[in-house]
Amino acid sequence: MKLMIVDDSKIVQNMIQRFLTEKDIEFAGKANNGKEALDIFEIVRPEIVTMDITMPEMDGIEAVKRIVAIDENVRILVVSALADKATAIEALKNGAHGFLCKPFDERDLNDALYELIEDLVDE
Amino acid sequence: MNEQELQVFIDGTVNYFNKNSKDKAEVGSPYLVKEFKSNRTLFSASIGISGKFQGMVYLFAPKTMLASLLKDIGETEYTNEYAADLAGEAANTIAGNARKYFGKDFMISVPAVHIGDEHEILLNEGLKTYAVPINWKEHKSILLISI
Repeated sequence: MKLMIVDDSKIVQNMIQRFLTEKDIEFAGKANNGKEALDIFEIVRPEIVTMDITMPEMDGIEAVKRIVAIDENVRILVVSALADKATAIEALKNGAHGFLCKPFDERDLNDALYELIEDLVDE
Repeated sequence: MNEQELQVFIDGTVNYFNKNSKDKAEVGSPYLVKEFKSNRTLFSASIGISGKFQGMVYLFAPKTMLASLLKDIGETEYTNEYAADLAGEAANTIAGNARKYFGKDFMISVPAVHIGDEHEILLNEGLKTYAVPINWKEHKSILLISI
């Protein structure tokens, strides 16, 4: 499955790419904000997206909404520093499938990604 | 801001270093400041706080510290661009994590980053500003919380 990373921090983008060990997931592209994510999503058509929330141009919640409107089957893991429950609930209500709070380590990321695609891998 | 609220930021800072490095950060005693000057050796990242709360969170760190942290997270490039990116991400994470305590009305901006320039930080006189020393490995940085 193809993964797109959306985050306004290059070091977070790199960290997610480097930490990826889940064998069923391959890195396919990255974007620096929600607006860019929509453009790249149309080209790459990933099955999985990691999405930051606080970003310039277009935030992650809006980008989640718009990406799900394009492809309702996409699995989105929100990866954000915003640690309150309300933000996680808002992301899930808008179409995200999981929420990972920053800071995270390799295990946190892969566990969250595995949970995101568990049912697809088992099929 | 009371002691409990200040502790939220201190815990967030310690957690940030603990997740990203085997070396633990040590936090010194917070103190009140009325003015603060950054200098050429420091990278700074600031996060604006709005909504139900008003203020700023700043992180000041030397390039050597940021380069060492970049190495610990697995980066191989230690450029000014990456050091500034890391300072912004750290400040964003510390401020964002505080929403677990303050709730969703504690709204944070994207980080603004200054690279090693000498400038005075314009602090809001109507707010108490605490400086929190952060020592990690041999490096010293400062977290300023003005809320």
